[in-house]
Order: sequence, then C-alpha cells, then structure tokens
Amino acid sequence: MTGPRVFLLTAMMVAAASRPPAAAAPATPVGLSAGITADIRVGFGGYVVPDAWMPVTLRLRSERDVAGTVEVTTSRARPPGTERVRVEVHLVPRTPHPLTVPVIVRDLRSPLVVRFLEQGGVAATWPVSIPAGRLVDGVVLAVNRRPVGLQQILGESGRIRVAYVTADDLPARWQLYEGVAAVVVRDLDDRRLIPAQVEALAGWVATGGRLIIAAPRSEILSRPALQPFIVPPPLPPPFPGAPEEVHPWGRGRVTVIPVDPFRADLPPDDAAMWTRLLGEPRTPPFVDRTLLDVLPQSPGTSLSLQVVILLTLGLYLILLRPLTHGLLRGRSGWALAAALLVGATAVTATLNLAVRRGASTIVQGVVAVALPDQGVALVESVGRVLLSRRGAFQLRAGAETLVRPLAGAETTLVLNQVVRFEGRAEATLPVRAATLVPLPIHGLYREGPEGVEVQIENRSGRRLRDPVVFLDGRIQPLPPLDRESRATLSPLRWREPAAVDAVRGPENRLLAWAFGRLRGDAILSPTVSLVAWLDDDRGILHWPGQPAAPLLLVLPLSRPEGAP
Amino acid sequence: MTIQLNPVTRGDLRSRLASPKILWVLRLYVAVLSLLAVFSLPPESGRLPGLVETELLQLFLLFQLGWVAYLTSALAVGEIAVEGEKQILDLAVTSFPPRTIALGKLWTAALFAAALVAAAVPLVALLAPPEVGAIPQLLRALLVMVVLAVPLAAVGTWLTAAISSDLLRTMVHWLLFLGLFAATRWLVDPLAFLNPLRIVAAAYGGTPSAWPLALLPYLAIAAAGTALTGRLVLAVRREGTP
Repeated sequence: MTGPRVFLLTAMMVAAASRPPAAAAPATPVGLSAGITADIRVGFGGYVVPDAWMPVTLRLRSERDVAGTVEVTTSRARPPGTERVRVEVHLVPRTPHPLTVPVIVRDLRSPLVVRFLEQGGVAATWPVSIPAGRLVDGVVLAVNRRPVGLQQILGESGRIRVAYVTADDLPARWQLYEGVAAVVVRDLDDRRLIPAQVEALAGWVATGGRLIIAAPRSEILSRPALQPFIVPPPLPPPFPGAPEEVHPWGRGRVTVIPVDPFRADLPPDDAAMWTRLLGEPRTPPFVDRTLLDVLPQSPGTSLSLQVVILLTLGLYLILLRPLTHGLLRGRSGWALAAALLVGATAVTATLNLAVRRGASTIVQGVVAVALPDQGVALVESVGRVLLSRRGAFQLRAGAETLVRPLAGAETTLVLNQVVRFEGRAEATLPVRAATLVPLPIHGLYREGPEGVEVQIENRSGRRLRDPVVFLDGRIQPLPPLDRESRATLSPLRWREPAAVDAVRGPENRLLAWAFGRLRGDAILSPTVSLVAWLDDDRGILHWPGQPAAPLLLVLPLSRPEGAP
Repeated sequence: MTIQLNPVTRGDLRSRLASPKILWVLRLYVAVLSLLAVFSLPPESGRLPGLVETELLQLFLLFQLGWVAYLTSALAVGEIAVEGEKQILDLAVTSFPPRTIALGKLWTAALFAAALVAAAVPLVALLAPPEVGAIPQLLRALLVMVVLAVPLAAVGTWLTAAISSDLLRTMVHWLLFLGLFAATRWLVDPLAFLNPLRIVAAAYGGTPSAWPLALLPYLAIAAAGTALTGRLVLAVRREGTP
C-alpha cells in the first residue's frame, strides 16, 4: 500500500535579467494521495493577480486507472467565503494528464487547496501557498525564447510583472487572460498551439486585450496563428512617425512593432517607446458592476399570485361571520369553525410556499456586445441570486462560461459540458458570468443626404426584437428586422434616451443603462450601434425551471470601406 | 368528560359572538393584519436593506400583539361596549359568587385574546418560514401574546366598576396601555425586558433564554386585577357602591 508521499512542485521558469524573483512560486504542495501525484503551478510565472481568473496548471499522474474530480478551493476571511472549482478527469496509469483549472485568488493568507475527489471521498490533498511577493496588479506575458529583458523596461518597482512563457503556457480559455495587462510576442512557435489557445488569445484581444507583436510584418504573415490579427486595416498612427502599426481587433488592439524589446542592447529611445506601449491601459469592459444597480432588488410576487392572495384574504374576511356564528351552535359549529380555520391556514401556507418559490430566483442583466468583424459576441451577465431564506441554489450555464460570486459566499463552479454554479448564500448574492458565443450578425451604416442608412445582416437564426440605433448619444427605433434589412433613419426622429431613474421595469432600465454606457464607452461612443433584444439564451445563467432572462445585444455598426 | 365553562364567561362569549359590532371589529383586525401581510410579500422585503424575513414576521407579530392587547382590554374596560354583555356592577347583584365573577371575566379576556390570535393564524401562515422547526417558536410567541393581553384586561375589568366616568376610565386605560407598551421601552436592562414587545420577540427568537421570567409580573398583575375585581364585587354587595 502506498503511504503518504511528498510531491515536489515543478520549479517556475521565471527569471529576470537583473533581479530574479525572491521566491519560487507557488510553494511546494504536499499532500496525501492514493497513488496520484500532481505538479501544480498557480498563475503566470508564479505571479497571481487577485480577484481575476487565474490558471492553476496541474500535471496529474496516477498509478492506476481512476476517474474522479479535481477540486481547487480558494477562500477568504473578509467577507468570509469559499470558492471551489471542480473539473472531472480520467487518469490513465503512468500517463501525465495536463489540466488547467480557472480560479480566483481572493486572500493570500488563506492557502489554495487542490484536492482529488474519488467516489465521494478525498483521495489526495495538496495545499499550495502563494508568497506575498507574488501578488501583483497585472502580468505582462512575454513569449520569447530568452526569458530576459522586458522587466527592466517596465521597471522593477511597479506592481506589473513580466511572466516569460512558452506557447504551451498560453491559456486555452480567454477568461484566464483577465489579469494580463498585455501579451508581448517575439518568438512564438505557433505549431505548438492548439486551436483553443489561438481562439482564447483572439477572444481575449477581442474583448479589450492588448497583443503586441515584436516582429516585422513579413515574419507575422508566415505564422498562421498571428497572421489574422494584422488583416484588419490599421488605425491611424497615434502620432506622426510612430513606429508601430495598430490593428483593431474587436474591442482590443494588436500592435505590430519591428523592435525587439528583449535584446540586451536596447537603445534608450526604443526602451522609452516600449515603456509607452506597455503602459497603455486596457480597454475597460462594457459591462461592469454598475449593472447591478439597475436590477430589481427582488423579483417580486407575480401579479396573478398577488390577486389570488388578495382574493383568499377577502374570502377569509367573509368567512369570519360563519366562523364566529358557528361557535354559538355547539359542537357541530365548533367543528365547522375549526375546519374553516384549518382550511384557511392550509391555503395561506400553500400560497406562502408559492411566493417563496417565486422569490428564489436570479435577476440578471445580460448584455451581448458583438465584437466588430469577429462574428462573436461577448455575453456578460451580472445578476443577483435571490433566496427567500439562507439556503442552497444551483444555476446552469453554457459550456465555457465562467461564473464568479461578487460577494463572500460558499460556491462551487462545476466545469463540465454544462457549467453548474451552486452554493449557499444569505438572502442575496451578486454574481457575474462571461462567455464568448458565435454570433453571425453584422451591421453597416452610411451617412447620406437623406440621413443615416443602416444595413443589418442577421445569419444567427435568432430573432432581434425592438431594434434601436444609437448615434451620438441619441436613439431612433428601427422597423422590425429580417434576415437582411436596410433602413434609412430620418434626421427628425432622433431623440434623447431616458435616464435609468426615469424609467420603470427591468427591461427599460437595462436599456437605459446600456445607452448610458454607450455614451461613455471609449470604443463604442464614436461609432453607431444597434441595440436590440436577442432571442438567445447561450451564456445566460439559468435557474432550473424558470424562463431565461432577455439578452440585450449591442452591435457596433461598421462603416463600409470607402464610405464617407 | 365535559368541561364546565364559567357561567359568566359563557354569557360574555355568547354576547360577543352574536354581536355584529364584534364581527366588524374582528373583520377590521383581520383586514389590517392582512394588509400588513400582503405588504410583507416580496419585493417589499427586499427593498429595505437589512430587513430580512425573520424581522418582517417579528414585526407582524408585534403589530398583532398591539391589536390583541388593545382589543382585549378595550372590551374589558367597556371602551368597546357589547350589547348584552354584563359588566361587573350588573353581575354584582346576581347570585354568582365574587370569585366566579372575577375569574369569569378573566377567562372571557383570555378566550377572546386566544380567539383573536387564532383568527390571525392563516395570516401568520402566509408569512411564516416553511420549516417545521419554526412552528414551535411561532406557537410560543402566539401563546405569549395571549398571556400578555390578559393582565391589562383584568385591570380593565376592575376599572369598569372602580371608575364610573367613561372618559376618565378611557383615559386611564390608554395611560396603562401606553405605559405598558411605550414607557417600558425606556427602562434600563433587565427591566426593559418587561416590555411586552420585547417579550414576544424573545419568545419568538428564543433569546434571552430567561424570557419566561418576564411573564411573572404580568401574571401577578392579572392575579391582582382579578383579586381587586372580586373584592370590589364583595364591596358592592356589602355597601351597595364600589
């Protein structure tokens, strides 16, 4: 029988030219096992960005054929909470099984714990502590053959650190780039990339990420994984004579610059340019926590149920007369009165249960921002799980969706074909989910002498409801849209959208919130957008047995090439 | 085995149950509590941060206690007059022993308070947590409500004969009522636990565990009120006036 074993953590590849990190990260996990070993790495190059999705990379080995679940637990003290992420695995004897589990580290004082669960029990446990020096504000992923050079450009004192990674280390989920400030690519062996990694990189850039390719254009064209990024026509240079070429990619940017930042003899001017490039902020997300403020605090009791309750109480008031008079008629009257009282109590108790069933739900605002020219949409849901009393909940979401609590709670995210997010909470728990879904809807606009002309091509097979065009802070409704629609907007029918506080109803409030965000969004405010309700429940959090929330689509319209 | 009801209580209850006025009082009581129950349904509970379900139910129970205590004592003190119901002075000239009269009035108050509490049980069921574990604490709170309503009614019964002026009697009744519910709130701990609202809240919540001790003064008041009523009946019979 195999006794407890000590497992060594694989050493991190992090090395900086001037000052290597103070401690190898993460710490060596030690745990009990049942013939299962694991090499564990947390974050990128051992650096961890708190409150962001981070990869926990495992390499599992087993001496026997075993099917089980890998569970990674993170916890925090204030507010108290425990978050678990579970992934099912099947280990084959003596064959390494690589696995990446997305986790959010909240509190460095609480160790991260990796467990292997088998047949309802814990087969192995590996606690992993993260040194305090590994907590950073952001990570720049540097893909280069030689892991040196970039940190000097960023400076040693800042809280943005460089993690030197290989193609193998690039995440296969776009959400895992959340803590990444930028990806700098110099030497990328893109033959080692699997399609999911390429899609994840493209998806992250499209959601607002920054990819900087330090290579000449001719070299990029020869790499299938990078070549698509430079297909969109470049944006105007940030200043005359700027050496970089910036290509838009969804809400993000791809910068191509033929200057190697990793070389030891980098001239000061080039170093300054790289400092500028790396210091540029990421595009803020369209959907943020302010969406929570427009959501109803409670789902309320349905009108029909309220009517039934009022009718029941009215009937009870009427029954008070036979009830009191019955008491005067001896035993039979007492029995009748008791029966009436018990009956009324049973009915109201049933109504109580019906109200509670309706009161336990999720209220959410779901916004799909179509990423220009990508054929995909970033679907983000910010919601509030409402429980009629402290208790358990279980939500479902589409594959590839990651869900996180926005407050302290005990939650478990189960990442299988259907994603499950379950846990226990007080009366309310704010949550957030995000995923990318294919969405072949495209739109064009052209400003002509008769007004703005829009053209919408919807090949998604899903219906667009109540379409509205947003331009320069004003809106104008469109007629119902077909698969291919074209409309000219009258210059006289533009109007100001109402503010959130001026409208009632969850849909109107969400719409008003979206118009407010469009006004302030750096990427979308200069352009024309179509806003419509989309009949699509992919990526939305589902409360079993309850109808899906409506999804608000924000589709930036492109100007046709050559148009004025 | 049959339970012999006190003849005074039987007569009072007959009068009250047959009275259209009492039916309307009962309807008003149920209607007001119904409104409170309906307004406690979601989304109202969620709109007030910090006001959770347990507190809403507690608020309902406290409101109900106010109603039960007021209606029970107001009927005893004659503030709400019931046609056919005999007051102490009327009963003093009958052949019932003083003890029977005094205890009968006490029983009338207790049973009427219990009837009011029972009439609101369907409304409590509309708001109560759906766990079996919540039933004992609710029953405890409802029972305590009856116990707390009786002492004021016992004193009120005595007042009907002790104070002949309707206005003065009503004023004294209101002073006692407000004193019990409001003034006790300003007492220092542990005397503040004598407040009936705090007792019901403690009976529902189960804390502090010594809450039953706070009922002792109320039981003493009820006993004192009953004794005073009995002595007053004797005095009327002996001297012809209270």
